[in-house]
Amino acid sequence: MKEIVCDVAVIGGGPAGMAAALSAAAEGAQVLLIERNEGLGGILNQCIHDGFGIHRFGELLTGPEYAGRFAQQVAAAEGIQVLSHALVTEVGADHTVFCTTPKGMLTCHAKAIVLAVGCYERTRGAITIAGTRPAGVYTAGTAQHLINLDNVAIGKRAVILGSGDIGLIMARRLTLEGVEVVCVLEKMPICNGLPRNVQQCLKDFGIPLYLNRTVTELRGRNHLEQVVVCDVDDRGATIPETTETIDCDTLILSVGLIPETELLRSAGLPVARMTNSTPVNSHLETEVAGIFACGNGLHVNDLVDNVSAEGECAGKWAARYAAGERAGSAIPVECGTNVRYTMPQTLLPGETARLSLRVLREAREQTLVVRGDGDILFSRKLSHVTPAQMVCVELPGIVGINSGKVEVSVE
Amino acid sequence: MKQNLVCFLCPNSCELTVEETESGLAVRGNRCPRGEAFAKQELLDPQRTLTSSVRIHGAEFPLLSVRSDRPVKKRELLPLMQQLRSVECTAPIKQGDIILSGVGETAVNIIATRTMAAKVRGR
Ligand SMILES: Cc1cc2nc3c(=O)[nH]c(=O)nc-3n(C[C@H](O)[C@H](O)[C@H](O)COP(=O)(O)OP(=O)(O)OC[C@H]3O[C@@H](n4cnc5c(N)ncnc54)[C@H](O)[C@@H]3O)c2cc1C
Ligand code: SF4
Repeated sequence: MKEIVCDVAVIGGGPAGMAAALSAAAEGAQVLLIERNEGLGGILNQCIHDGFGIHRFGELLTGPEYAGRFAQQVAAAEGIQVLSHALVTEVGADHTVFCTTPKGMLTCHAKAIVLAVGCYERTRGAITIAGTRPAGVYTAGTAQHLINLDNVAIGKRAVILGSGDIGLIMARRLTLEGVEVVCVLEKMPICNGLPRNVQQCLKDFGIPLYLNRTVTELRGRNHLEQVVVCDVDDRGATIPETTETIDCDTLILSVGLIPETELLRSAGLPVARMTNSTPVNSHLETEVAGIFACGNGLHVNDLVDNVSAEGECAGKWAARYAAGERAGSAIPVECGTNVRYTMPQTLLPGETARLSLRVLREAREQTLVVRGDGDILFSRKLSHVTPAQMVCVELPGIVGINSGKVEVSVE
Repeated sequence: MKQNLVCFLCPNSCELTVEETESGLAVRGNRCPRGEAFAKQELLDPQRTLTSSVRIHGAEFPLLSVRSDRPVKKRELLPLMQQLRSVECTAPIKQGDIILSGVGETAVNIIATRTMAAKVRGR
């Protein structure tokens, strides 16, 4: 088995990993960037639509262009070695990284590790639909890969279940490819995707979006022929009187993304219920010192610029950890009114931090408030919040909290 | 007549209302001037960037992602897609290379959004 050493091992070559590698190298670290695929870019390579990078590059770019710009910077940077076709199978709490490569096993002894492994899609099994198990059912990301990268046509008449952004984007993509998209169904009372995607992907093409409606049964022997759909009430129970069957040969599932947590678990890290990932401090350092996490592998982001910003933060602090710098103890952040989760889950005293959160319910004219010992430490007006849109704010350094914790609410 | 729109020029996603008044279109809800221009454009002549992929030979993947170098009229999207269906190109291709030039009413170029090297033999 081959063994190598480095200061910072970054696992995952998507935007989070590339940003982490660049910022770690900028701190002077020797970086190993490990990616299981042939090239860098991660999920961006299949997101061929535009709408990326408005903040970072000041332009509306497509996914591959955004990835390409980053990959060029990585190639030009000093101190980054890219190891592609290498799958990381395990990460030890002692900062050992085990990978399989075409040339055999490789063990990397790193001083610090950044996990930037992205997320995966919820599948039908997770939401249990009755009926047969015919061909023609795809998750939105799989359909996106097949159509955008593999040149595989997937059907003629499609129904999309779930109003997440990938589902909306696929509604447009399929329409452009000549597939008839009958409708998008969302079980919840609100749309999960960004408003701009509803406009550009559905309204532009007259594709209806039905809220409080879901698929209850799949029909078809070998291939999908029909789906049975029906309204659901506010407790999620189906309303049989509203049942309808729709002829279609394709069902696209866009029912959610989940952070990839296998490597976190292998390092012995706990996985939180709300983010489906592990708690971190404002350096994005996990509970195992020297192991950092960022991007969709930490919590699911809607905007790639936020992912890149997280990568930069994790990379910088991983490099400093490798150089011997240690973070002190952190102040826990508690979720108050209308806050589903915050990331990070703890703040380092006296340091500015980027705080991301998601709300539980849609609301207008709100204020995000951070309190400690009953005092307001920070507040920010938010004109409109929805669970689909992550809220991101820069917090000033917080010091001198007697109770040892702060609370964040949106009220 | 009053219309509601979402500005999609940046992630702020401002909710705009456009009203026809005697002095022309009045736009509200925009947090920056680009939103006003956006709303007027949307009502008078909506435009979109076309993104798709075309067949490529001799590369690692069978498809190359492309886009129009400028926005096209919304109603041009489907006819242009039809035109892209018969396009084929050959690796190597660099990001930004023109795949098809001067197409559609707005005479846009279709450019590659990804660099694709020629496939290494024997892999
Ligand atoms: C369909 C879709 C549409 C989107 N649309 C937009 C948009 O319009 N605008 C916008 O701003 N954002 C958009 N986003 C969000 C944004 O693109 C993503 O949030 C971002 O790309 C995630 O980056 P990441 O680096 O965290 O993960 P990824 O890009 O998924 O990268 C993870 C990388 O890690 C590698 N990896 C995983 N496990 C291992 C392992 N064990 N060993 C080695 N390598 C491993 C993977 O191969 C992959 O390359 C979209 C996302 C999706 C999925
Ligand atoms: S109006 Fe300005 S700030 Fe609002 S979404 Fe449009 S570009 Fe962004």
